[in-house]
Amino acid sequence: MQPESIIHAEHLTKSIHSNGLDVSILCDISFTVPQSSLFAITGPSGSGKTTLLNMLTGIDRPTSGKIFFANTEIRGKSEDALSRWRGKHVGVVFQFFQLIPTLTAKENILLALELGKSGAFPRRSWSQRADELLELTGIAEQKNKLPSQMSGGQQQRTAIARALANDPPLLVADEPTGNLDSHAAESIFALFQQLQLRGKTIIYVTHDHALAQRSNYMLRLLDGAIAEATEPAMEGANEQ
Amino acid sequence: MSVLMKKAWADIMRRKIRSLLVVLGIMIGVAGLTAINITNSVIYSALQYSSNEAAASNAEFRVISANEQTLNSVKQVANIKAAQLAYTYNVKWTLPSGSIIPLQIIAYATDSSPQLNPYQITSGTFPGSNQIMLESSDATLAPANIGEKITLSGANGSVQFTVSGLTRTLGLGSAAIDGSATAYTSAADIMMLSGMTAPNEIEVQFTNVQNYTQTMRSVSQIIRASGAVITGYSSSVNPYDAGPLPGLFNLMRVLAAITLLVTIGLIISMISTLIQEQKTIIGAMKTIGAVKTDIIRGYLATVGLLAMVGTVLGLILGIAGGYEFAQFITTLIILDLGPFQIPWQPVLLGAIIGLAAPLAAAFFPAWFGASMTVKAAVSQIGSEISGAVSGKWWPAQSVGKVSQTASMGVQSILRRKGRALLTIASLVISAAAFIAVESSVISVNASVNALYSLYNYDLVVTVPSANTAGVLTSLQNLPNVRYAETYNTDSLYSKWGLISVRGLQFDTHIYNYQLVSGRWFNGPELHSAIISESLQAKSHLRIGDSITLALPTGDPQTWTIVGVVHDISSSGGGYSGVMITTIQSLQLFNASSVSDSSFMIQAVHRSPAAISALQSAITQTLASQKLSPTIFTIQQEKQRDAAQFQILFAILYVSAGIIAFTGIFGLANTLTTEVLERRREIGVLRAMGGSSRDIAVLFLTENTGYILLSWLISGLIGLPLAIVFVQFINDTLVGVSFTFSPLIFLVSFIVLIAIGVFAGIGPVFAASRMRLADILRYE
Ligand SMILES: Nc1ncnc2c1ncn2[C@@H]1O[C@H](COP(=O)(O)OP(=O)(O)O)[C@@H](O)[C@H]1O
Ligand SMILES: [Mg+2]
Repeated sequence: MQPESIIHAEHLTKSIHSNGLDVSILCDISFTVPQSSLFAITGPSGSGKTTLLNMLTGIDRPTSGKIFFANTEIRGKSEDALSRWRGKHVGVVFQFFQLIPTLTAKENILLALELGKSGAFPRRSWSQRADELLELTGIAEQKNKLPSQMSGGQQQRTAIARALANDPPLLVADEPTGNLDSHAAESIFALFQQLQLRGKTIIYVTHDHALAQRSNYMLRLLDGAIAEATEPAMEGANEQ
Repeated sequence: MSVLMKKAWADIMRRKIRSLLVVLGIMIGVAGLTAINITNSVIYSALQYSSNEAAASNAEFRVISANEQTLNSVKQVANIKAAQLAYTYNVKWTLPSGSIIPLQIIAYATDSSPQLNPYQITSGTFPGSNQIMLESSDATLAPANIGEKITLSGANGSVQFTVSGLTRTLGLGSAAIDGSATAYTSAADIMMLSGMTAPNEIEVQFTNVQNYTQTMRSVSQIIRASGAVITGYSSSVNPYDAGPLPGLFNLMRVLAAITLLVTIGLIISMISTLIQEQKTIIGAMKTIGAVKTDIIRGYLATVGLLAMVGTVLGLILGIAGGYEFAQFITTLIILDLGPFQIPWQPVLLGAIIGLAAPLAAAFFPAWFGASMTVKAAVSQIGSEISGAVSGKWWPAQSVGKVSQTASMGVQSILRRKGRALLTIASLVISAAAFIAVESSVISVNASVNALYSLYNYDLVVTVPSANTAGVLTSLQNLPNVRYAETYNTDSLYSKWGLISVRGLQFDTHIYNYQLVSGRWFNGPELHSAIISESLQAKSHLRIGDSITLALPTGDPQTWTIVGVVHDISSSGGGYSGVMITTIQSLQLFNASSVSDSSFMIQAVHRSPAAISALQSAITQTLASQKLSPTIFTIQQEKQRDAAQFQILFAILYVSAGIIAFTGIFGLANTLTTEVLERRREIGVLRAMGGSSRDIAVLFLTENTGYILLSWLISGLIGLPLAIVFVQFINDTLVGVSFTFSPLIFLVSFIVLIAIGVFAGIGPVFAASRMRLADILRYE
């Protein structure tokens, strides 16, 4: 285990029971995500990318195997405990943004701060923190708009700003650009690179070959197994 | 304001129509409950005045040659708290229209208000010579103003009196209750009018009403011992005691509780829908750190806000409605409601229930929603999007556009099982409520009509202090009289409850007895009795058994049961049933040659004009014998019954209406939600060239499906419910047996169609007008 890793997965498998059959979705996956890296996961539709990502964020549990977050194993926590943990340590970004439709861009960020109650940001600093994040993600001008009044790219920036609200070291994004045009996708990726420079780790799933190539590390899945891994992500897998 | 609270508010504002429905649902529930309770409370406090037991006499003995000495010995009897002498005289009040109202004139030896049944002069002054004070509730029978002259006729002919004032008598029931008016004159005038020379009534009040029978007997003995003659008695143990109103209020409470239950069901359905709809939002909130309590708090805040608005509106509506309804009841039975005062208990109850019930109802859906795992919530995102165009709702083989949209409508009912179940439940309850109400109305009317044919008379004549046999002969000799029969009734307390005891002629033609078993009287049998089925059911007495009852003015007597009849005339509303004896059997124990006598008369020609002529003929004949009868026609009785049942029916229909309203909101909520949830489906239909009409058909089919399904179910459960409900009315209110009419299914069908139309218009219209651009923008 590398000391600078933020995520370390060991022999992850996931199988589900469906129609009386055990179907294997993920099969013996091991890898390491180093800190402050851009880590891409690719693969065809149905290869298990979302399932793998959900296990990294604690949304789903592996059937067997272990996941370490900053050298601590994620396991056996209750849904609420996981929610609180996630609020502090992991920012989640969805393909369909999942902003609260009735709240403005800034309020969506404030909600995350309110729910996070991390203590890292006292209540009186919330508004300023939200403004900084809006500035950082380049949507300061949209802050009072509702999601429905913004473009897809702007909505995704809002979602990223919200994911960063409680200053988590890790950002996990499932096809964050899947719903955006290439121009917007490019600018979201630029934002990721900027965040990486600030020390964040970003794990993202993408179908876009070009965007995957620009990662520091890449994992390609095929039918639930690792088909290809660029160095040094492969090291963890090679050890076995 | 915290962002979570802001979201709660925004959720409300975002779905304005649905929020409005929730508010209206809560409002209707709270308003219905509050209105019913306020009506109860207002009417009760008004009744407390007019049926004040503290001031009311418990019994009146009609006497001849009673004096101060008689009164003093009565006051010595154990359990007698107070006693007083009074003059009472029955006259006929002839209205300018020609109709005649029975009027009882009361006078006391002194001009001051008496100790028992004290009256309050509400306007005008105490009557001088040839003046009279009318009880204010007399206005239900005939309005008369102060200064007006009214014509009264007694045994000594007609006299004109001038109305000097109006009174409100503590302890006296409304004139509308028994159809007879009450008035006060000076003692001198009543003696002049009647020819009486001494008081003819001793009014007594008991310390303990439980010792009623024993005390009545002791008082009777003392009065007779003092040399006076008892010609009759009445026990006016509070006229409302066994009367219809307490039962009515119980009935109203049951209806309010049903309304409340339906409202809670409605709220549960609305909140589950809201949470179902926000599944993905719950997922998103959880991924940014929200825990269960955050989410529950958020939804409870949403519901709390809606509940607050609904409750405030409901309370306002309920207070206004309750007071209006109370006022409506008082126009039927004339009660002085007194100054407008909002009773706080019903308002507080309405407020607590209006706030607590929605929160409690919302808690479980909120809990389940909040307990949903992030994975379940987030995976919803994918399935929702693919679900809209997946084969399940869009089968490849298209049978034709219209029938296809219709089949989608039917499938939609089955799709969200829980919500469909709640919707159908609320519709079924609405329809079942109407079936129960309609059955009650039909049954009550049928039972009342059965009663009219059970006692097939046109007139009832009551003559105080008369020679019964002599009066009977003169009545029988009048033209147009087919049958004149003497009868007597009494209410006796037994270990099975209050029994209505009737003395009838053994050869009666007016009472159409319906023998169930045993036999009718063979002659003027003195120790045989016939009981009603209801009494038999309560007492388990069989033919050949004996029954011992104590007559209030005589000694206990024993009868042998010889037959059982079907007679529901006194089987409900506080009575345990009927016992019939021969008139001789009852008269035997009232041993005195002169007594109050009652007669039933059946005419040959039964038109209102003929009956009215007969009424005048009876008055004239008896006046020539210096007798002043009280005469009621069956028409008057029917009118009086109708007025009382009108209240009952009004309450029943209003309650059923309130329940139906919640049914409308329940269905409207479901349809609105369906429309919202199926935006994409509508979008797909639109994109494929579906017209507004196609989309309207889709939702109309769903609406019709709900209605038809609910109608079928309501038919199955409505009928047993109606039977139980009619039984409840029988137990608490008035003797009534269940009458089935297929009409109830038509009524429930019409009600459901009406609900369907009102609930459907908005959502169906909204769906058919939804534009593709708007649908796509929603994402
Ligand atoms: N809850 C589930 N039930 C059945 N199959 C599932 C479930 N979740 C995922 N799968 C299956 O597992 C495979 C991987 O799914 P997913 O991780 O969503 O793939 P990707 O994100 O790479 O498209 C797919 O074949 C999918 O159908
Ligand atoms: Mg995926």
